[in-house]
Amino acid sequence: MPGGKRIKIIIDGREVETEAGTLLIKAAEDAGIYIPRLCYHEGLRPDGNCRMCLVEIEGLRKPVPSCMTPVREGMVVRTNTPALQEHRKKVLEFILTSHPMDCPICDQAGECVLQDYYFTYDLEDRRYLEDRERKPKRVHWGKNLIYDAERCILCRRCVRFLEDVTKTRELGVFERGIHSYIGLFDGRKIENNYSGNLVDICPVGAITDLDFRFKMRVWFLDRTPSICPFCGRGCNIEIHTNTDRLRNRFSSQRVFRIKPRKRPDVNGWWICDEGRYSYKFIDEGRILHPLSNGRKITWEAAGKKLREIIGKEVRVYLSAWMSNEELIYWKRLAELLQWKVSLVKRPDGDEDKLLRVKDKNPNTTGSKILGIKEERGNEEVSVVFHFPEFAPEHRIKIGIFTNEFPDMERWELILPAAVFAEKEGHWTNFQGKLQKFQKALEPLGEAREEGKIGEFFAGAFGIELPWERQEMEREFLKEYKKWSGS
Amino acid sequence: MRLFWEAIKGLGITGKHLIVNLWKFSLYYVGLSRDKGVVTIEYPEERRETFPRVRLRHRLLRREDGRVRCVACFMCATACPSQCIYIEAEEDPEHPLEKRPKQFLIDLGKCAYCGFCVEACPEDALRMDVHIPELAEYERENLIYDIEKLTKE
Repeated sequence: MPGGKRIKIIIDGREVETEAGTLLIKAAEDAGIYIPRLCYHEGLRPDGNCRMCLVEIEGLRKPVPSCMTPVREGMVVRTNTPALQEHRKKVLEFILTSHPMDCPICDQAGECVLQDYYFTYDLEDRRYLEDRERKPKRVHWGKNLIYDAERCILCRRCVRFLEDVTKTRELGVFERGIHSYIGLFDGRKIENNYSGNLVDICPVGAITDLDFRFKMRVWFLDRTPSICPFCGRGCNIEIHTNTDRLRNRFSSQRVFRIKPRKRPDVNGWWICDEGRYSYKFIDEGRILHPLSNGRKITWEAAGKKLREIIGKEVRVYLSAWMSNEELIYWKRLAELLQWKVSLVKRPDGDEDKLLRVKDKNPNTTGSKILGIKEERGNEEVSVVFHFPEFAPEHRIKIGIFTNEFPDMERWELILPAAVFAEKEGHWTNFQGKLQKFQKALEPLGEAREEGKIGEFFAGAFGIELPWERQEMEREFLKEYKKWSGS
Repeated sequence: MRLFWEAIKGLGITGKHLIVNLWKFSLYYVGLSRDKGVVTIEYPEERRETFPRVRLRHRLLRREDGRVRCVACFMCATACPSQCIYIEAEEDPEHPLEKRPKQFLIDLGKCAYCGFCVEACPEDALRMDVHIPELAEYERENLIYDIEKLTKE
């Protein structure tokens, strides 16, 4: 109940102020008191089936699940009494009677909630000597999902996700008691655009990702907060990378997966599959050196080549994939060089009601704030960013691209640019929110970030305009305030 | 004069060892004693007995069905302080154990023989019980052992 009245409750002897109607588990988490949970997920309807989050409330005879209990004025809650600790041990022991304990071959090991809770709350040996229940393993659920029923703890997070968030309802719980498992309804496959989120919300390794399966252990990954560039929403993501050649010896892959980051007012807890699985372009098919008509040249030679266009009419096609800072820097550079400026961007795609928006570029709003319009000109020279397919046919074409594309030899000069994971900056999403993405990797080969390429252009034409990102960020904020104020 | 005296003393020690060990070996030879005395071992025809817990080069074990015991869990690579174990995992389409190593390399040139990898292995796939101390190679590359070399007895 947003905007509800504020009430006070006491959790573990601490007075906590919260909104009426909040669930107890959420109120405690906001106050910094973590109550263990397996089935509860902030973004999903509470279900109360795992019994891990039980707490004691004064005046009630038995413990109650905190994920199903809304707060009440003057409630006195205890979350960590010896009785509750004993109870958590028992819950975990029951789950572990039928859990296969194949952590060595499970991709979730290292970020598995059950594993963490065992080490935090249980640490008891197994007392149940019967054989473990045999259930279907390696079931392909469609797209990139692999389901292992033996590892499943039946928290029903995936079922609730498909019921409430995507509303596609492919999954259900079948059979009863110890035989129950999560399964697809007859003739169904999970084909929706948010399937990858099932892997994230699964607290154990029951649902794993075919794309990430057995590629890397999770504790070898570095995590960098970033923003997804594949549509105007700009979902908050985390890029998981490994560049340690000792740990990652056999592949040239640097980015291993994309995970969502919680941001309730932009993407909630989710990202779409397009954003999740389109990271391959960061490592594959990259342009590593400056190219002139398809031949490899050095940056110095490229500078010489650039000076040939002095005095000619130039139009620079900035792209909606550039950061706010880079756009304002290039706009200023073009003004100094008396070049005309326009914008290129990916064409609109399909949208849905959940996250994906029509605009498939991360920074269309940013270019609008700076007044860069999509227009074509007839100038002799065109400098094109990121999207070769939109370049007008001209005598001299200069491109700044990240990935290889057909007929590169028809370009006078191609400069290698860094992708979003290799630089730092801000994008303005379709809601007008400024969001920062951070540098996860070093630019591949001789690639440079667009701001540095701008500095290189300025140097080649004898202009003093150093690339300072923070300076440009301040400049953009001025424009942004003017825009959002009006 | 003093130096001369020291030389005599030295010769005395040598002589003492010679006679004592000759005596011990003679008793051992005729079966009256278990103590062999200090006798030169004629390596390489003759080898000294290694201790049962000695840590020498690694050995990868196989299961009864011939599959390598290793499931590519990376525990050894994680525990290794000299980071000399390199594993590439892959899906095993038939076996109930879904994961197997596609490549498993140990760089014995880097290895510190600490035995952490053996301790960490949850499948008892890796042991250091090959009692062969000879590892000399002309090329560093030859010291990088793969699955084939590691499973060979």
